[in-house]
Amino acid sequence: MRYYPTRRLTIIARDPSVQVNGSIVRASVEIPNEELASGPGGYRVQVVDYDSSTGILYRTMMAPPNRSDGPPDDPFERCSDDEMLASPDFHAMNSYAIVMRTLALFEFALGRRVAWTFPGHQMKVAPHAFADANAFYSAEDEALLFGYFPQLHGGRRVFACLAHDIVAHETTHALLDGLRERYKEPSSPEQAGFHEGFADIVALLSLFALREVVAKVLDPAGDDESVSAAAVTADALRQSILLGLGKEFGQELSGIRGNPLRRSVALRPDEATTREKEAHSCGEVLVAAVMDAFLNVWVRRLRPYIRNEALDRTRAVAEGASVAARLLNICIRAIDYSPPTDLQFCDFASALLTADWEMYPRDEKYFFREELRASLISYGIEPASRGTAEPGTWDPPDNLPVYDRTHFEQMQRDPEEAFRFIWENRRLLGLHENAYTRVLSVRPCVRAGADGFVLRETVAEYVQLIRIRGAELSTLGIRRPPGMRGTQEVVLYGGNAVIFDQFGRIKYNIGNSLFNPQRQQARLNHLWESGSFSRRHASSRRFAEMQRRRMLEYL
Amino acid sequence: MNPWKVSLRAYNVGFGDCSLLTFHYAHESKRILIDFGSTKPPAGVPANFMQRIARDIATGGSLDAVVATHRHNDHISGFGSNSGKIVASLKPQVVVQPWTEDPQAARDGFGRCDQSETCTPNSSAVRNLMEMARKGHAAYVHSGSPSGLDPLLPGVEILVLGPPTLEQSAAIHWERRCDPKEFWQFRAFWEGRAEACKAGDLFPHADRYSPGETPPNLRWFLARAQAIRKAQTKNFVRILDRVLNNTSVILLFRIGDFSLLFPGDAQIESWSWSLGQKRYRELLAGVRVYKVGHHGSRNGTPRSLWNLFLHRSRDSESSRLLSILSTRPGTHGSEPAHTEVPRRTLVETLERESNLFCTQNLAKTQMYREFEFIL
Repeated sequence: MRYYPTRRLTIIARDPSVQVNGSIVRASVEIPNEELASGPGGYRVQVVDYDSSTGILYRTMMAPPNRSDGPPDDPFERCSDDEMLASPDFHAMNSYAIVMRTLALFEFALGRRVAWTFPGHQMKVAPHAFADANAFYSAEDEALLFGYFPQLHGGRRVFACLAHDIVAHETTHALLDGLRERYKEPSSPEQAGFHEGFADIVALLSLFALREVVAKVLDPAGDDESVSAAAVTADALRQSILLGLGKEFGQELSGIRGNPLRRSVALRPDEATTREKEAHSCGEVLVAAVMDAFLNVWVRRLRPYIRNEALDRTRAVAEGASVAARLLNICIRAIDYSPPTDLQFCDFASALLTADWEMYPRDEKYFFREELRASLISYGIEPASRGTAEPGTWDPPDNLPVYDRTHFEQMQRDPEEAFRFIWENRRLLGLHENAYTRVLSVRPCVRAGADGFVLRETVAEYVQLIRIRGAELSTLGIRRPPGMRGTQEVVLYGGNAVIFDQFGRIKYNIGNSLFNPQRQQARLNHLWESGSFSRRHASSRRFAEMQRRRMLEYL
Repeated sequence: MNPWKVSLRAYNVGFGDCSLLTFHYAHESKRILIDFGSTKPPAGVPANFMQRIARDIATGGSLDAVVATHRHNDHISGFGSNSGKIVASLKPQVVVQPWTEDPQAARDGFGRCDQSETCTPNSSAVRNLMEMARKGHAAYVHSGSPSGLDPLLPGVEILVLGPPTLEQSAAIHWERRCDPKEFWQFRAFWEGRAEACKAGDLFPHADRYSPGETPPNLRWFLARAQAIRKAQTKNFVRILDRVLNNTSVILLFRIGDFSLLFPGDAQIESWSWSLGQKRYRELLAGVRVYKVGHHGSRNGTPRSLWNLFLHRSRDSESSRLLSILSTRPGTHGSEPAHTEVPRRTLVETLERESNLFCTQNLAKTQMYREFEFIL
């Protein structure tokens, strides 16, 4: 039977505490349609409703079957709030829908399928995994796990699986891990902060891409048809977000995730510089800069619609959701233009600008690049590249590589062929001949713009790794940190993302070379000073540890 | 009637603490064992070294009191198993522990009722301490409370400087950088667990699998989920364990103008309360014998405490401060991260400004070093 390509499912827009006129704010999200098994279990996500604290494995209902004459039914569309909250089936479906929506956002933005970092295809999602104020992604267990716990004041339970931004945040950790597995390695405070910061950015922008959430921000009571001009300045919107969402966001849930919304909206550039030394504070600065750009673009888009000091509420809501969705696209695509190891925010800044420039060379409708550049710089994040095509964007390589001995058609899907190309051009690409070199992935992409423009690219990602002794560091122009023994084993990483155009020519070669002593020195110094060489670092369930530390503000 | 002599035995337990304090009166002696635990033995000693130490303590006759400054293994492991039986046979009349160990204490984030379910490795020691306390007199102390030792030690003033209660110091809830409101995390975890165990079910009316019918494709994940839950609990216990340092008993013994300070593992957060009290600061200034806190860690001897000691001196005069350090280097922390225990810079200061004795300097054949102070 042929069935409809997408379906709609009802989710809780943010969390059960965000309400209008006493009812929970809901949203109807569109996700890829598929023939679901019970769970629900789909081709990428399998919900397993197992509570390890009680040892109960719940049976979940079968999802409504597909039809040939339209999308399948939305089983919770007409349920009351109480029915939704009391139904494990809804909890399971809510988690499934948000994970699938986040995955779909990534796949659309990147123009290809996105794999999990583990060998399997289906991520297990446990909506009631344990009785604990916690939620995390665990690659080792191939799972996203969400806890539950009693309210601090009041007799109800709080469920992490019902909080949109918590589910989206953890899903983003998993997706980013699949795209850039080296980002969770110890490197620098910025790289450590990036995983958290990026997950917050995706969670917040995917939240604001829902019209129901934007409407709640602009009109908390839900009964106005117009919005005053005074309410759509950047400062007024900040206040509205805090009042409309931040304030109501339960204290209990903010304990799991901190409160990234509040922090990112409230953190101003003059405060940012003092916070950038610690990993999670670093992440907050990046989130604040991107959210600042979001608000500025939104305000800019609304200005032409203001008539008689007011504008149409529907228009204001639609623009807010649209700006969030487009900016989210840029942020996700920027991962492809970021180096695979030792990421710094300045690299991500250039990646953001390049990602948008590639799709929309003329920044004249939304002015995303202008606003992003200004916001990032105001928060102390200068793009890594000066940019010849446009300020801040990556530049193509200076010299032409040798294309003669490789076949691009084959290179698009065969890491061996990609490695041959990289090896043939090792001098041009700045590779160390004596380092272990591996092509991590070769990914052809077809990126579609909102205006129908299609961009075809292939992204190859490779890493270099060299294991040397402390005494040998000077051969690479690196000084041994004070106190390090000459026999101390040190692992240095390099690696690049190579972007090919549709004809197989290199557009960008973005990354860190083992021959870059400044970057390598900074990374080594940080690892040495933070005790990474002497502590035993647990590699298992790194995100669970990270999450617990962040939860207790104990870094 | 005042004691005419005090002797202090510092046993070498490797990484841990064990001090035997004896007050000599004209016709009798009173013996108090302060901590008895080890997490890493001294190099080259037989496996039953704690038992041998217990037997050595027993050769001196009965014990009048034991003090367990806090429930960390490096302070109480010896109260468990065979060595614990020997200590129990010495029938201590008083058992001093921090208020957090009081079975009657209100349930709290790190109160004892939560600990009991956490498979702490020193449970036999904890049980033995409870049993000894039940047979004798239990003193659960906090800053400013009676020590419970006063009736035993005439002529000795015993002050409990720590731990502060929750009301006295919000900082004890969590270490310095954590806001007291984070306390709810502990509660959320333990109460969630307790509620889950009690209620047994999130959705009583929902359909579920009976234990024997778990689908084969889910069994791997269910086993992983169980392992995650155990790991979560262990992780939380570790966090709580750190907090326990700040519930460590701090005792100051004063006989005339001679005083000895035993701070257990109290760290900066706990000290900050005591050091904030004017009377305590005045009394601490006169300390002559300092049992170095927390095995010489960087947080165990706050600079503000060290600077108070008037008997610090660069000259080796007779009234110079005596510092006693019980530790084993290479057990915790790292030098590059400045967290090694004992902290090098602290040891240098102790050597420079006091007569420092460190248990690690004892020969393999020496079980302890005894110091005598004629009053």
